[in-house]
Amino acid sequence: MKFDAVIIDQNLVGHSWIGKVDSVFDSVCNVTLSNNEILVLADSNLPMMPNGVAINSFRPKEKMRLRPGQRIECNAKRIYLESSHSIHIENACSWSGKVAFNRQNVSKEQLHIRWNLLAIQVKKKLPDVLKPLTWHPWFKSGPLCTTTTIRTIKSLAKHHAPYSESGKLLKHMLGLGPGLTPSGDDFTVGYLAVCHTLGSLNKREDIKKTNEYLSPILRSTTTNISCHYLMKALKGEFVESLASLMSSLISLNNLKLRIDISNVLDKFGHSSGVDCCFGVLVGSAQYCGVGDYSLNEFLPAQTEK
Amino acid sequence: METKQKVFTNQYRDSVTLMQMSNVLASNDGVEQASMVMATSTNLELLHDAGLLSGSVDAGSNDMILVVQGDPTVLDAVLEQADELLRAEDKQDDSGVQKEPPRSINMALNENPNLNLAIISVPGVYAAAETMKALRNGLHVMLFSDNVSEQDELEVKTFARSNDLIVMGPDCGTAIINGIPLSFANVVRKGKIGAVGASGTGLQQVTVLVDRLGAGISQAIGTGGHDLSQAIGGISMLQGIMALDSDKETEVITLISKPPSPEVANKVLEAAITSSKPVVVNFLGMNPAEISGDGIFAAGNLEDCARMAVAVANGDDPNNLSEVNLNQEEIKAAQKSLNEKQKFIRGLYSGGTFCYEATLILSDTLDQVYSNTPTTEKNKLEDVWKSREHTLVDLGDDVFTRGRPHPMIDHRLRNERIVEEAKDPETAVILLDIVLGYGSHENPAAEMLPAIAEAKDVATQEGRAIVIVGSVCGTEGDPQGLKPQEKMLSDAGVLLSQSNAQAVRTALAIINQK
Repeated sequence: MKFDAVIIDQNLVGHSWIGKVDSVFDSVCNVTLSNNEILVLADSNLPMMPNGVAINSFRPKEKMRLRPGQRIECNAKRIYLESSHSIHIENACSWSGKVAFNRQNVSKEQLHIRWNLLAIQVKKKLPDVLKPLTWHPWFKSGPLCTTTTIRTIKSLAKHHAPYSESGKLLKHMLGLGPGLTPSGDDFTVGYLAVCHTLGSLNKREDIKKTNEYLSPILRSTTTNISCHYLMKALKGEFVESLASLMSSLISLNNLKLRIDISNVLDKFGHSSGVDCCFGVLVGSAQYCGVGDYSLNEFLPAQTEK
Repeated sequence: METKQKVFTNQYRDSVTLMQMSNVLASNDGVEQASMVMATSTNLELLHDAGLLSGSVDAGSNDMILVVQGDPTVLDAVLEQADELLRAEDKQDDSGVQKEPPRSINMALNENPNLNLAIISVPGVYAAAETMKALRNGLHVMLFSDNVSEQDELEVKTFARSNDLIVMGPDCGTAIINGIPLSFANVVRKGKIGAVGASGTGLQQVTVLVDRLGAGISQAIGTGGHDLSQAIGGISMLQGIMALDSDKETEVITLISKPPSPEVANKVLEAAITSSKPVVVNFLGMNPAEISGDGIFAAGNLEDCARMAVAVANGDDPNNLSEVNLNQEEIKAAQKSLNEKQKFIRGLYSGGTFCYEATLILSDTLDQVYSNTPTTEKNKLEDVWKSREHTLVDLGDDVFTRGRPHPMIDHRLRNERIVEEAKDPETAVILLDIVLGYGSHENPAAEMLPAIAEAKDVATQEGRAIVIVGSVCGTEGDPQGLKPQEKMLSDAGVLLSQSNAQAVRTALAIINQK
């Protein structure tokens, strides 16, 4: 059976790999390549992902019966799967998930308005996704956040925690939460998106420092798939809907921002979008100076166990 | 109280699934806590801190771990239940696989060799290849896909013509063949008026109005928006004219398009003159005086096109149509509700041709009418997300539909914009089209009502009123039903006209007579 890819991450164009299927969902299949990178095959209705290939009507479980461990081979024109399926990639449009640094184009006041808009939307969404980041096994359906987590999140939102030092704090979030991409990781991806678009004017150095804190521990602290998104986030590459959200946070177009927010919230994993938006919210809180108290409505009261 | 754990090596689920499983397991009698998470170091640390885990665990980030705490007599059963839950999930993934629909033209033809028309809707780069496959199998083609190169379009159309087949499209959204509406089309009665159109909503408006005027449609053939360009030369429109000319049920032919290139216009008009049947022509934006010939009747807009076609079919004089009177009472009441600052019209269209027609009508009277599909380049709206002065926006344009459904299906974008426009103190009238029929939203009026109410509230809170004028392009036979849709909108305070042209004139009268 032959499938046609519609869009392909430009990082993948013109390369050849061998890999094996890592994980399969209804419309996404993650493949581990021989160089330990992850290739994401996804339905074209989903936002494009770093190292992603978008395929029309892609149903890896139902139609292709893909299972973890299956072999996969890519050449510059086609991706061949063990089960006699192949995906034609040569004519697919190229895509890049890079976000642009835009701090100079938005004032704190302008960003504050957009911050409120984002906060309202995220808050609306929290009950729908069972609050993964604020869920905790200690308490039946109670809050996740330990005092350490609450303190970490609040510190990340404060003025006195410069972006350059955020790696120290973000490492407490890695791997936190139940799923294949744990909520703490999704949160970190959102936070890094802010660092890349709104971080300090010394962005290059800041990111380098964050990289130094996080890169060495990623593989041992979280899942392979989540590690992939975090590595890409450290390089400034993000899921399409998140990259678009970051550009509308800067622009003066509230209408587009609303659409982008709902795209991240609704079309990015089950709960990943909400966690990611929360990361953006916390990261941008620092820049527009809304204060960590503004996060109280998202977090449970601090409790010592 | 005892604690037990189980590691599921190399297994994964997403957050929501794991939380739901944890909740199910924790709801068992005798279970105090149940937690199923990916075994990342942070999560293991948390479980340790919570006293749910002791000692080291042989599990890594890519494994799942379940920890249950409670009455020792029930814990084994809970661990088994977790296995069952995971197996059930896997089974669910494998079940429900029914007989797949045909995935290729050949498979469809094998199932039913009598097929003679293929509707093709694939990404533009593959559309020409699929069209050729269909044509080689002797099928006519309705090509819904856009972004087909000019060269490919010419190639498939030339091939089709030489094999007595027609390609409707690319970018063809509407057709009614032998009474069957295809893609975005309305349910209209059968009759003796045939239509060939290079514009989807143009065809919809004319066929709907013909139906409302008591007449019917024999065939409505779409050609795609590029057919009348110089490069393509109107191949499909010329084929359409010939097909209708030889169709026994068709007595009057209507042609609908934006202005063709002059050369193509001559060819099309020549074919119309040589046709044995009267032809009503509406080339939107082209001066009707420039369209003449034996048996040719030129219409200035889509409504006139429908009315003239019905007049010809009924044996009446199409050049002597009665005036369409606007509802002056409604107009006066609307004027009174506006203040001095409110002077601009904001049109939010889901139909591209409706937007273009509105721009033409308004530009006759107003100096500057901005649009993302302007009649002249100087009136191009620079920021399509933000209106200025008089603005008409085609929300079906690529920039708005990238990554989301067309506004005839998904009303969210337009709803947001309705409220945005109402916030502008200079907005007097919001102009809308509501398109019914197959392909469109199942209940567009209901989708729009909250936004309409919010827009009115926004204005009221600022001591203003906002006038919303629209027209519903649909028939009683449409799945949504014309009357219920119109009633919902009227009850919400929308001033409804019978056609887009009338709605535009109503909006114009409201702001001009202020």
